[in-house]
Amino acid sequence: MTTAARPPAVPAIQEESLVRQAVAGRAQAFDVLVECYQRRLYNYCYRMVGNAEDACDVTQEAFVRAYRNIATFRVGEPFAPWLYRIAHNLCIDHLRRKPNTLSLDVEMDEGRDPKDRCAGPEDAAQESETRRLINAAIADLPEKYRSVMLLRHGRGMPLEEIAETLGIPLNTVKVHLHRAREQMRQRLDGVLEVR
Amino acid sequence: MTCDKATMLLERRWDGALNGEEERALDDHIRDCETCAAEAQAIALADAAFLAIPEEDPPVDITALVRERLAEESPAEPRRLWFWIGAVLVSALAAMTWRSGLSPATWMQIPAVAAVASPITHIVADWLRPVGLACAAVSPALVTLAKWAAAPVALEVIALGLWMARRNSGQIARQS
Repeated sequence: MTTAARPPAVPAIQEESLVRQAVAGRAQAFDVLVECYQRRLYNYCYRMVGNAEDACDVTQEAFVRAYRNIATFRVGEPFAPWLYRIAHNLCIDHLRRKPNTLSLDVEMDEGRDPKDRCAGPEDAAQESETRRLINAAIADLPEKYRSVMLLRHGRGMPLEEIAETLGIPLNTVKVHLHRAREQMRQRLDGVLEVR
Repeated sequence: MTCDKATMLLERRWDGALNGEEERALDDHIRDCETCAAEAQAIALADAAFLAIPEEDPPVDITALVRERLAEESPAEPRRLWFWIGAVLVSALAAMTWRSGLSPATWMQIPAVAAVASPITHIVADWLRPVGLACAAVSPALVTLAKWAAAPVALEVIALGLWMARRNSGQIARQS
């Protein structure tokens, strides 16, 4: 896996045990799963729906639905695709009802801790501009390309799990991913340095 | 190496699943193929883009909000659901028997019903015989009273079964 892929917050074996307990009806185990996944799921929803408030609502609803339907989860299968599928469907429903009108880049820099910024103001401005361009490039991807991009490069998910999450054939995932990367490359070539 | 194979290897490299030989073969192909080199560059650029935009913390504690919402409800337990489905079926059967005027003896003429119910009937009858005899001995009026009470009790059971089924189906509908 490349450096861009985020590792899971809990080891797979521990996650499986938590999922088993949650399926058996232990609310505390589900609570731990929510804690483990809330940041990752929120960031996926945020980049899908385009603003923080709606992303919070969608993420919250995804967890509630997951809890209500936890008895239908087949123990032994990966939990992430199942959870992301619920969240993804809610994001799509949300976008159908309320098309995205807010650009991500405005919010992304709001409230950012100044100590996270580079030392010099010029560097900070340059970084901010780079982030703005990247956020805009991701936000401008069509939904179907954006979702595969977020799951692959944002979450480090294997292609097979992406297909399962989105309910589309593996070949379609590959095609969408290729097109998404190509669109990103056209937008960001020269903006980012690639080794 | 074909470009299709190289594309597949590029994804597997991204997953960290290539061995040394495959790595070398892929690098050789990319050096000679502009299309696959562009694909490799697009992958690297996407990685760089996602590294440059750190993940955000949710502005609210989603775990707390979810906990709050879930405290107001409990998940539908399959066993409880099956119990009520069974209750409704038994109620429906009782209602059909009552409404159609068919006696249990008539139902027992159906081979499938008889096969299932006959052993149970014998066991229950054995258990109830002393009770029935005692009741009959104490007061024949009790038997009459039981006959009169049977219909209202059956109605109560049906009503309760339907109410629970409606409640459960409402819960399932909300879930979906």
